[in-house]
Amino acid sequence: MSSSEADLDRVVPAEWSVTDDDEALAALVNLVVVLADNKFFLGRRFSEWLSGGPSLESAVALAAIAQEELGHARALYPLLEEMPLVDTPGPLQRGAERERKYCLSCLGAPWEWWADVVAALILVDPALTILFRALEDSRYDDLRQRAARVPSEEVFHRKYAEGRLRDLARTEQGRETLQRRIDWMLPEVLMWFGPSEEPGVAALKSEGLIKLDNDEMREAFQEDVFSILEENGLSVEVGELPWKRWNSLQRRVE
Amino acid sequence: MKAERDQEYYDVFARRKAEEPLEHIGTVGASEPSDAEVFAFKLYDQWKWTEQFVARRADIIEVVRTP
Repeated sequence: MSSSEADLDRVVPAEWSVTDDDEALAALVNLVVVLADNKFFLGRRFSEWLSGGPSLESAVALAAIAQEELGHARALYPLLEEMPLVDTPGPLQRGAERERKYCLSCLGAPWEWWADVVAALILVDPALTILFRALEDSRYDDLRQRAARVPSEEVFHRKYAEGRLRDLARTEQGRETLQRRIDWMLPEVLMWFGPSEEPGVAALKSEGLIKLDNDEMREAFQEDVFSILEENGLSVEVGELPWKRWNSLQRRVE
Repeated sequence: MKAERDQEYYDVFARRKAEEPLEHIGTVGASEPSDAEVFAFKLYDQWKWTEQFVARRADIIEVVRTP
């Protein structure tokens, strides 16, 4: 192939300097929409429980957390328009703008239990934060700058999450309800970091766009949240993860 | 089933500028200091405070109280 033919074949235009690796670019588009959609639906699910919180204080704090999650999503969506690809997924404003959603299936429908809110606060939100932390040194400036503001806001989310966890886990009935919701969410959250040595994440890492691989992110998550769950009498045993039901594009269990 | 532990009152204090006196701006009910910190930060966000504190009401020593 001549150099001019090679130029025609390139998916990544030369003027977009973040990466010239097609696999890394595809993985980057997926990473941004997956982060944004998960933040969007996490905020949306929290917002549905604003009048269901146990006290005025916890309801108002949850409202602020929901607003921040939606804000993180809104900060990410414009990046998709910068990507040198046609047909990148569009932003969500109400949630129904496109059929294909890139969020965890546990965020896909309204929750029945306050314990779902608590489980998502202590599992989903910290999982997303692990990924934002892995982007803090990314070569992609616009993404790195947006990612940098997230962990500082998440400090208060985490304190709130731990308080709600202790509230529920103090009684046998509360602990059992919470354990059922954790058993439902945890396998999918662990899988969300992707299978070991996933080619897209490997391409992102080799291009300096993310600093952790799939297993490193999963281990960081386990180290971050398992001890607080166990301290409150909750089990983190998940058995074999159902990878056959894993949708690697939408990063969710089917 | 109550979804929260028993709560206590915490008084919330803040100042907007370093040279301004600390003001009592309200209270929050919380089961532990960490919750009081989060609730105060999220409830009393009407200003960009330079300092904000919470103190468990039971720990405040009453010196004078006029009936």
